[in-house]
Amino acid sequence: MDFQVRTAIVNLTTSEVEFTHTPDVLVRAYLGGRGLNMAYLRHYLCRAGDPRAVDPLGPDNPLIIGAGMLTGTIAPNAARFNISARSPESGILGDSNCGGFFAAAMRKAGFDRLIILGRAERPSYLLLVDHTIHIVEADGLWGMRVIEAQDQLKGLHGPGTVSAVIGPAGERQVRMAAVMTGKKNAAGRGGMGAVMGSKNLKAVVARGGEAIAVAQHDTLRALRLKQQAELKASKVVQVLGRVGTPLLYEVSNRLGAIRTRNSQDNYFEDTLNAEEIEKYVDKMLACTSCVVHCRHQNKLGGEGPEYSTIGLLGANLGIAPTDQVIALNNLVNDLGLDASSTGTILGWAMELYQREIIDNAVTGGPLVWGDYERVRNLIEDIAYRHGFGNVLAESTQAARYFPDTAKDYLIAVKGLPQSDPHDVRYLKGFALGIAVASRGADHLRNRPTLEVFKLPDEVRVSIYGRANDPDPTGYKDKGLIVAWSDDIYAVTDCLGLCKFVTQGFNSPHLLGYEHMSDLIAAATGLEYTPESLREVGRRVIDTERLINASLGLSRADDTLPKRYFDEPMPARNTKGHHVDRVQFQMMLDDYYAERGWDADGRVCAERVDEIDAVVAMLDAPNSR
Amino acid sequence: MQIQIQLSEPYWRAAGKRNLELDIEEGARLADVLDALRRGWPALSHDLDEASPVCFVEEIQAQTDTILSDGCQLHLVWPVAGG
Repeated sequence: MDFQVRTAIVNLTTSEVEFTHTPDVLVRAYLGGRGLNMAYLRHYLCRAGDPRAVDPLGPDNPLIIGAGMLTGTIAPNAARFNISARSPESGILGDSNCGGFFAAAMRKAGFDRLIILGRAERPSYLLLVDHTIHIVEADGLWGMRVIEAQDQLKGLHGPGTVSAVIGPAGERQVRMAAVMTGKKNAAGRGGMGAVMGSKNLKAVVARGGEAIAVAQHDTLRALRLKQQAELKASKVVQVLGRVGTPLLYEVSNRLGAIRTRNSQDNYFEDTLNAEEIEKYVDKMLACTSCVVHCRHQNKLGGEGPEYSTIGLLGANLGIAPTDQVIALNNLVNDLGLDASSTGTILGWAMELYQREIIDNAVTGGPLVWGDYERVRNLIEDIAYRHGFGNVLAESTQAARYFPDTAKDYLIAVKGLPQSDPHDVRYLKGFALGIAVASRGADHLRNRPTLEVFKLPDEVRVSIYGRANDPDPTGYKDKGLIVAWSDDIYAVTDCLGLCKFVTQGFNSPHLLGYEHMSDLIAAATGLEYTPESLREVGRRVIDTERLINASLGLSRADDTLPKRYFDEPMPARNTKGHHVDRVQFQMMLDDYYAERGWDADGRVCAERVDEIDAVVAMLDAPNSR
Repeated sequence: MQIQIQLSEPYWRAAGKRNLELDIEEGARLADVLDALRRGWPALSHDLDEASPVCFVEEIQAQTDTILSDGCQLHLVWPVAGG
């Protein structure tokens, strides 16, 4: 079997659809998912001449939807896809990763990647079925919330259809709008829903037909069974399957590291512990080919909440009642908002009000911690761009409407609000990670979670390749562990795997490069060694660095929120910890050295040439 | 002396309850308490061996040689991160 990546280029302005295959050289170099999306994003941004001239909400911004190389096969936890574009939230690289069932259906309908250009004249959606793409008028769907729109599409096109949709937030180009599939699965980060809305695109609907062809079915099946057994024997997989990510809340809270009231405080109520959330759970759900089952179906009509949502719509806003936080979770999902950005921006606004940096004339009324009704209404107003919500709908860019001092209280990096509710001042590797993450302040790019494990020296050497300082609160060797995490998470995203089965994310075990190489060979016939697979991860990180550099970013942008440098944590075990500015710069030096970048954080010329030679393959006729 | 122990997810499920009380000798170290837990709650022993807990006395992280005092509250938290 010759493995081919089936790509469709849809121009919504002209209604033209072009079917092509991604050149083999690119597939070898980037695999799929996030990696190939980044190659295409660099291609289209550079093709515009000056990438900075591409308006994130304009027709020239490409919206790239790419399934992972293994997505939809029987490989463990191979459900995921990436949506990429220039981000309207941060202005830099936008890339969001999502699970659920959509990507498998997209592949089974005949497409591994969609590149959506232009802007439809009227609200539209794409229907993918049996290797064809139809551009369908969506007037009747425009205005619907996430769940209603998907139900409607399923009713129109049959029970086998799966949709990725935007809600009211995406339609109004709210800069933190998500693309949603199912009740909760979100391509949340960076405002990809706003890009979709700017194109007048309500949904992409896929009806999967044929099974995804693999090179060696029996071998892949044997690998699945073996790896599934290993994963299910893992305690972290068992616990995630029982209570999901809310288990992390108590860990962070007990430590004194849960972002509370916009990181003015660092611990909160026990009402958001996993056992309290569990009281509202009907059952646990799974994504395509999942062996973990970490997603809750809750009793309030939605799915979730995840740890991030609990922290950022709970502790970060001073809201303690469990049912209220779950209701807010369901609301942001149904409106199509990114929960992490929404919670962070609301917390920021509340602190600005508390400090009298903004007042009722700006906010339209009191904005105080723990006021559930006010938060609920304000979330609606953000999605519909009403009143003060219209200001907050600009996400970090709302700073331009506030006094200059407002920026001092914004918990964001590179224009992206921090995703994880964990206060990073204590764990220095985590702090470095969010400072250098390519899409802005985000834990899913490179969080070196093994920091918290008391791993023996020999285990740490076997993972990271050399001895390293195990102290998570120190500054030594953090470049090494963040770079290692960068690379393996990038490969995971290229393959469409879930990080909950990836080595290093929650455990020193689980699926590493060797497992992944075996899966790739069985599914596609392509051979990789663990070393060559890690090289793919390095190439993806370098490509992302080049994209951001072309958008004007430099070393100065690899930084942290002011509070993380200047204000010590106030209580519990982490009391007194902050990130020292001088030591932080030393960590950056270490990190750049690990990546092979120069002292200013620039990718070396040789690598730039190599990447651009590969990406240039997309310039060939019929190879875009 | 007596100490109060609060178990986090997933330890408490193995023990069957969230909060435990333990009578131990004066001057006992954290390591002694963990040994006592293994003896008193065999189902918990496996989980403790599989993943050494992060332990806090009141609000401060404790080491295995930390000496505990009468009436103190010990929290055993599972070492996990990343969500």
